[in-house]
Amino acid sequence: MVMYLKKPTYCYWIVDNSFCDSRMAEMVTAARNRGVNTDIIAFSPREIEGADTYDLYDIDHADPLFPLVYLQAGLLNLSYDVVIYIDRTTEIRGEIVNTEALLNFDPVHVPLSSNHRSPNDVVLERTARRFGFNRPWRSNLDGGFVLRRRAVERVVELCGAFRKFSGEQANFKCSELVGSVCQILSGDTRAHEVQLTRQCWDIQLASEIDSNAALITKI
Amino acid sequence: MSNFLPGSKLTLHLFGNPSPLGGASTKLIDFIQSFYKRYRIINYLPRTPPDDMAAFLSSHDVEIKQYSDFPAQNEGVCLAVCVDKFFETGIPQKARDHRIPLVWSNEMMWLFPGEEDAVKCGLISKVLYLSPIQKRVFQNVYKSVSSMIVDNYVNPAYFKFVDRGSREPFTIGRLSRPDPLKYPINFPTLYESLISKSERLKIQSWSSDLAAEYSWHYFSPDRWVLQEVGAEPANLFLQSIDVFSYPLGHRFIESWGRSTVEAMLTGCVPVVPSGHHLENLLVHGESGFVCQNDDDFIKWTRELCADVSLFMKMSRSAAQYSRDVICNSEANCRLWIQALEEW
Repeated sequence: MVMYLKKPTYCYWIVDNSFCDSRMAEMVTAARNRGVNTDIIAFSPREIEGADTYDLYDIDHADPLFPLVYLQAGLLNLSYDVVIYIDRTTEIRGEIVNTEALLNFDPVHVPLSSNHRSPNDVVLERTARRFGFNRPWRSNLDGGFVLRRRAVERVVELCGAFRKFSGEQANFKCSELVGSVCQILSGDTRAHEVQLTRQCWDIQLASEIDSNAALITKI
Repeated sequence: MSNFLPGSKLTLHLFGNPSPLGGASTKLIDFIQSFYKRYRIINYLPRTPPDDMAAFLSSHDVEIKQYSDFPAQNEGVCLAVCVDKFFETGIPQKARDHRIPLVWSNEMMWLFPGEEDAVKCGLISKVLYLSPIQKRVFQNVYKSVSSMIVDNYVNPAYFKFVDRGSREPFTIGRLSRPDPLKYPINFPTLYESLISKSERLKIQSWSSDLAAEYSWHYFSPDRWVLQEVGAEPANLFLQSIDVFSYPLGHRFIESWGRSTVEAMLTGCVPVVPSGHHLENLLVHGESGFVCQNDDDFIKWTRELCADVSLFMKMSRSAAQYSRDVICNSEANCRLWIQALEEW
């Protein structure tokens, strides 16, 4: 008998919790116009054309970890192996042909850079050391991340623990916490550098930061 | 000063479970083999040992007794090695009542329940440390107690060197208790980052606890061989791997690192983390590598995978260093005799 390995299925995942902002809908329309055929799962108070739209959950959307609540609950009913979470700062420019290459065998991918450092990074790095992280710290540069279905529970658990150990007073974004967990669980954090994953993200901001940092170093 | 007459055998009341699994238990097997002719050893066990261990003890003239039999002889020295709940058994108090000195070797990097109270009550006559790093952790607790460092000893006869040659597939592996504390949080992804394509990853011991801990990762059977405790005898397992890559959990400190030395004896090249006693068991760059972080693990292991001549050279060097420098039987025996006979 010949067995074929199933190619991992993936989808884009957006949570539009704004009642007056149409950027999510515009992003989906733009993606479809570019020929993106991948499923887009949207949670929104209104129908988003081009996406499978579901109602918002009755949860606290002020909590920065709210996107993970959607992933944890939503994936129980859907069968995708990999989820690409995008926020309103991310743009879908095309199909991601090989999500495994992006994940590099890791449970989660977040675009990272070693040329940028935000005030939160000081706290995040210090907390990561408490989890045994022993490499150079890299900053998260985008609101999006790629998450393996089988790792959702572990990533959510670690994000919660990470925030707890960092101190409740810190105001972290979801992607910063996921980025930290990405670094903790990664086999090789260098594989998540934006230079290697540039084509998969709208990272204009990251490019500017990288080029500025390079310029400063040069001077 | 020796506390027994020349020509007579000192009675050694031994607490600890000799077994081929785990550093402390394996150490007792080597100890018994080295000293059964010198001491009358009475091994007190909480339950009947398995048949193979009973046969081993019997063939080395070791008497097996239950805890309640202590002291079977109202003289001698009591040696306890890494015994769970030892300080809750009442044995240390009995030893003091019978004026039998108690020598205690913890072996771990944490205190057992009741251990600190036993020190305060003066129940421990002498404490044995495995390494300077272990001494640093415990020295405040034991500042009023006589102490000395007695290194582990590994019998090279059981871990014969195997020339790896050009056998396939090149295998990276580790041998340890299946304790999740001993594994880093990113163990599966880090281990997969060590290899490129055709290499194999082989682990002993694996357990359901570890499988649950890393359920977020898919262990492809093309890459991984995950074996339960005792699936292969330690020597055969270590002879079947090429690089002994030993990243550890951040809450765990290796007090000595017996499996690393066993691996080196067979010709594995050790790649170990800094901050443990492990870095004292090899010479970085000659008989193995000491890693400051995960990136070092990747760098050195990949280099060994890619460069056969480097690997072969270091394999022979690791075996020779462990045999000649670390596994010095005479020096180890002298330390034990000092620990048990000089007061």
